[in-house]
Amino acid sequence: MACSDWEETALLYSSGELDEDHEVEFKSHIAQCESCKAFLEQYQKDRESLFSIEALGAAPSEKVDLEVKRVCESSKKQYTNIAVFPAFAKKSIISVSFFLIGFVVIGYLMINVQHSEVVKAKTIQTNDPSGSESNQMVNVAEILKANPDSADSINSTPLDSNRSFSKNRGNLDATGVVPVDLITK
Amino acid sequence: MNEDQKLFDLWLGGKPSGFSGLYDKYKNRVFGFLLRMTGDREIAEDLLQETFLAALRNADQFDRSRNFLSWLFGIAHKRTIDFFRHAKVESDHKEDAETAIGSKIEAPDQQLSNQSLRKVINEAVEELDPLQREVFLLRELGGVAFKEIAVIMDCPINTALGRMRLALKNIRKELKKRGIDGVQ
Repeated sequence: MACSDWEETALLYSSGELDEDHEVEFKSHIAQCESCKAFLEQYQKDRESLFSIEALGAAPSEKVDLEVKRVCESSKKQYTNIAVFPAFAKKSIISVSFFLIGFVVIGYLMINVQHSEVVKAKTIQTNDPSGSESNQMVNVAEILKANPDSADSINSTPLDSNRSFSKNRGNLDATGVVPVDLITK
Repeated sequence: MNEDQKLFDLWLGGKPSGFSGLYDKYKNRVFGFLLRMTGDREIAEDLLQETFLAALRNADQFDRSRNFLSWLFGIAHKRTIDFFRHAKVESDHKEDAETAIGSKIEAPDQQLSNQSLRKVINEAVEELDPLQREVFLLRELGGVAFKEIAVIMDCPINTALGRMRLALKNIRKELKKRGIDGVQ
């Protein structure tokens, strides 16, 4: 190893970063090499006398001291309460918001579906007050039995006309009728 | 838990004595580093404030197994890099530093026992290549281990050691030029 490499090892030795094996190796080298030994000694002397905090450091002005203390101390609550866990707080808020929005939307849809079922049932009852849906199905079966060619007429059974009417509800101009669910109560 | 960590916890807990303790203990080192890296007292004072504020903002990222001062110098290094990046004055850095440091670091300091020696040392440090200067200041002012300097400067540890070795040789050369040949 060249002396320049040993000088770098000397720096690691001074900063206490050399492991035990390398330290033994380094010490045995400087015991024999005057140049590396001189480099280490000079560096240690310079650190004590020249490279002191007093020599290399510098003092900020008193005004700046006060300003830094004021800013950092006034910021402590803001940062300690919120910014210590900023990612956690942000993620929590987003998750809870999505959950609430989802809950409201699903609830609204479920209420609408339930309501439309009730409306359908009422519509059927209004257009066929004499019988239930099962009776209507029996009637359709009887018609088909009597006249198999009249399968197309199934589309015009009271049950299906109610359904198509129900589909067209809301398009008053087109059908010219009043929605059943508005008048059946 | 060492003294720095106790002060740090007090600071985070909202006690002003925690911040004051750390600030008073390390302000001269951090400010010395910033001043020598930027070459301008006003900019260094702004960066000093930013460094401590950034430390407060990123307190949750501080690894308790690390040395507080090394962590603080890592932040100061980033502030300095950001400053040069945003101001786009990197190319003018050396030229500015030569004029600014010469006039501003010579300000009288009551605590200094040997002003002329300090002046000579600072001039020698100013003559260094910026990368060598940074490694030198991180090590001597911040007491940052070479392993951490390599992380802070994003370079291999051998590069950091090589820069330090050259920095020491160049400082020694400058001291000889100025008539100081080894301090016993």
